[in-house]
Amino acid sequence: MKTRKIKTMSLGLIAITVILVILLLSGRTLGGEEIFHWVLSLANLPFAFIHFFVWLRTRNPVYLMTFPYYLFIGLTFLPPVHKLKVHLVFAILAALFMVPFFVTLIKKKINWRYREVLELAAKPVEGKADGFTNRPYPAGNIDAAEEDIRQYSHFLFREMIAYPLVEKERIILVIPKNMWSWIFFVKKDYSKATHVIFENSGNVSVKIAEDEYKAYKDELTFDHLCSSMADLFIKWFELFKKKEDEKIIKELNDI
Amino acid sequence: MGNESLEFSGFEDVRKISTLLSREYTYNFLKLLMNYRDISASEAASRLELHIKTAQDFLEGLTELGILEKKSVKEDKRPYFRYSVLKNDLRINLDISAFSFPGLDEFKKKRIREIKESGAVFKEGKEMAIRAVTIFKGKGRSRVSNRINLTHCQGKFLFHLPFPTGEPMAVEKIIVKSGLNKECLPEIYDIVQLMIRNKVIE
Repeated sequence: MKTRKIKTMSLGLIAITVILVILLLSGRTLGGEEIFHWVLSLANLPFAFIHFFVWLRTRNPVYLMTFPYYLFIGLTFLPPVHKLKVHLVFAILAALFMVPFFVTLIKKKINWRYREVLELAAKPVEGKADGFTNRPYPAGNIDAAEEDIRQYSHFLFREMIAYPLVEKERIILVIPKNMWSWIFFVKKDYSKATHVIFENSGNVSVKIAEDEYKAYKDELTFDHLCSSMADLFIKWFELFKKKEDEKIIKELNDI
Repeated sequence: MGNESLEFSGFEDVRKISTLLSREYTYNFLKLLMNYRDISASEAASRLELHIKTAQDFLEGLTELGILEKKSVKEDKRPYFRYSVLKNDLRINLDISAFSFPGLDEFKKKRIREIKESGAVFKEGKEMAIRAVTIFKGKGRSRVSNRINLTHCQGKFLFHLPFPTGEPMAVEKIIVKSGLNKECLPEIYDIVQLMIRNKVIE
C-alpha cells in the first residue's frame, strides 16, 4: 500500500457530495417523481455549462465528451421536456455520451491534479524539520525558450495540472485546489496561492502557500519540499520539450 | 558682540540649530537680535506678536547653542533675563559620509538565514525579488505591524536568503547569488540588521 503524504479529502468535498445525495433522495421520497426529476436535471445542467466553458478556456477536446453528457442527461429529466416525446432523443444521446464520459472519468482525463502534484513534490522529501516561510524559493536557472514555456503552460492547463497566468516577462503556474475558481476568474491573485514561476530568462522559482503546506500530514522540511516541487516542474518541462508528455500524465496517474 | 565664527558640525547641534532656524519668525527675530543691544523675551514677543513662551524658548535655544548670552537683570525686585548676540557668524558643516555603516567588511562574512516561524510576511515582487516585508512586534491585541517597502537590492537579497531549514550562507555569497554588486552592501546591511533585531534573521 502506498503511503500518502497528503491528508485525506477535505470535509468540504465530502459535505457537498453528501448534500447532493440527500437532495436527490429527499426529492424522490418527499416530493415525488417530478421533484426528483427537477433535482436530477438541475444538478446536471450547471455542469454542462461549466464543462463547456472549461472547453472554451482549455480547448481540451475531452470536454466535448463530458459537456454533451451533462447537457443531455439534464434535458432528459427536465420536467417540461420530460413530458415531450423529444426527451427520448435526449435520453438516447445521453446514453451515447455516457460511454466516453465514464471512460474520461476512469482515465482521470478531467481530474484536477492538485493532490497528485503535491504528493509527487513531497515524494523525495524525507525530513520533517518544518521551516515554513511565505517567501518564494529560487530554484535556479534553466535553458528555456519563451515559446517552449508558453506551450508548456498551455499543456499544464489543458491537463488541469496548473493554471497559467501569462505576463510579459514570465508565466506563473498556479497549482490551485479548486481549478474552476481560476477558470471562471473568481480568483486572480496568485500571491497567496502555491505557484511555480518560469521567467523568460530561464529563472525558476517556487512558492508553496500555507494552505498547501498544511495539507501535508507532516511538517516536511520546507526548503527540500520547495526544491522538489521546482525539480518536478523542471523535469516535466524537459519531458514536454522532448514531446514525452504522456510520461507526465502516467506519473500523475500512477500516484 | 563677538566676530568669531561658531561652527556646528555634530549632528545633534546641526539638528538643533536647523530646528531653530526653520521657524517662521526666525528671520525677524534674528533681525531684532542683531540690531538691539540686548532684548528680553517679553520685549521680543510683543514686538514680533508672539506668545512670550515661544520667544522665551527661542532665546533659550540660541543661548544653549552659544549664539546668545543672557544676563540677569533686576527690575522692581523681579529678576529677568536680557539676551544679546555673542557670535554672529554661524557655520553649519555636516559631513554625511560619517553616517556610513561601520563594520561592513565583517558583515559581508556573516552567515545568515531566516529564523523558523519568524512570523514575517514577505510580499513577492517581480524579477525574483521581494517587494515588501511586514514585521510584527508584540503579541495579541498589542501586536503592531511594520511594513517595509524594499529597495531593488534589498528585495533581490531577501529573495535569495536561505530558508529556515537551509544552510546559513555568507552575506557576500547571497549577494553574488542574487546577481547584485557590492554597492548594494550598505542598504542590505541596514535591512538585515533591522531583521536581526526583530528576530526574522539569525
